[in-house]
Amino acid sequence: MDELITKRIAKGDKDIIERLVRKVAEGDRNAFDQLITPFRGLIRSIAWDYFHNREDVEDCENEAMARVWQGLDRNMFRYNDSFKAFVSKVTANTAINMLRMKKRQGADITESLDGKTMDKDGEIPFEAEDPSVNVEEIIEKKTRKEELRRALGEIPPDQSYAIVLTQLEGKSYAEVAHMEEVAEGTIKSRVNRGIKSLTRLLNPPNYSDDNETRSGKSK
Amino acid sequence: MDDNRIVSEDDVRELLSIIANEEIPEDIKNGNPDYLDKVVKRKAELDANAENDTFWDDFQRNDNEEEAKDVRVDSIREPAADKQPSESYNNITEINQGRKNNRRIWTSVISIAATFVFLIGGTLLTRGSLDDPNVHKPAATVEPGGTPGFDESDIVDTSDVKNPGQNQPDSFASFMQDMWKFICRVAPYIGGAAVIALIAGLLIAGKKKQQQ
Repeated sequence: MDELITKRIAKGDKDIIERLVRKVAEGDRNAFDQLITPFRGLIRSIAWDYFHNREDVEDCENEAMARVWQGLDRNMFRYNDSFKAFVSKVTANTAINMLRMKKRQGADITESLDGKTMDKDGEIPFEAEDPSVNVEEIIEKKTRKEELRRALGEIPPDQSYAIVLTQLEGKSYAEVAHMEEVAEGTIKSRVNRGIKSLTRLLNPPNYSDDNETRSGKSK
Repeated sequence: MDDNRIVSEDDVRELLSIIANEEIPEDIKNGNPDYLDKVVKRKAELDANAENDTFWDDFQRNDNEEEAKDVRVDSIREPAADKQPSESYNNITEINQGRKNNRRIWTSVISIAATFVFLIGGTLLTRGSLDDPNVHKPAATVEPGGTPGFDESDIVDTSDVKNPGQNQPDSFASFMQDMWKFICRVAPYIGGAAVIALIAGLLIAGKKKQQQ
């Protein structure tokens, strides 16, 4: 029975969602559990796009879920809207806030060299030296990825969110446009503007868009 | 790592695709089953610090600013019947209504200006061509006194005109001139009719939208 409800919530059944949202607003913990469970994978996936390490992903997930609950209390969610869109947006904004806070505190976002192999404490495990692996290349790639993730927290949230959903989560422009209730062209333009902003942030301060046309393609 | 390297948009896209292809480790994918207590605790903390918290203001501001920039009028959903419209919804509706009115005003102003241009331009051009004596009057081709009832004052003195024969329009030029005169005479009426149709269309569309 619970599984059936979970599936219906995941599919966006407005009646069930509305009923549960009302219960959550009254402080019903079980209702919140039921409502958020189908979207926990989505929350973690978005958090992973921004952080790529266990500790931050878990923090971001908890923070995002608390924010979703708080948002429901404050009537931030409109019943006609997609709950999935609401959850993803709250999660992205939470992640962006966390990234900004980390930047203010001077903390670093760390990930393992291949982005996958972390132990349970989020530490990078020691690996025996493999001569076929170009360590410098891996480190450079890792550094660039970390810079890119940091930059995702610095560009305007709407652009960051559009990039994460379309480029990292693999959703179509039409799908994101539907979730955001804007035209498809708007999402495309947000992604393009976002990529331009990221490019600017990843380059030295004296970088201008002209450099892009002169030397960007020559890589 | 070279701090002065240039990262292109293609590099950024490539990095994004690399990140997109990295799968979440299974243990992270599954998440912590005992999350609820932590969430409840965190929510209590957030509620306690609500005064200094700008999260929801930022959340709404993003919505308002972005939607104000990009959203189409018909893409805003109305709030549910049992819910008050949110501030965000009201703001966007107001902004869109303002833009719609601006568009209507500008369309009317441009239409009226275009009509005036047609009217004034048409009148000036037509008058200009009618007043040209070399074009509209035959130059001394009639013998004085040769035609009964012919008024000698109609004779045009061409002594000061160089090569008088050259001012005679040939058949094609004459045809073009007639066409131009016709266009100039008709254009203001067509323009006026188009403007009236446009304004009527806008009014009807506005009325229909209001009824909806």
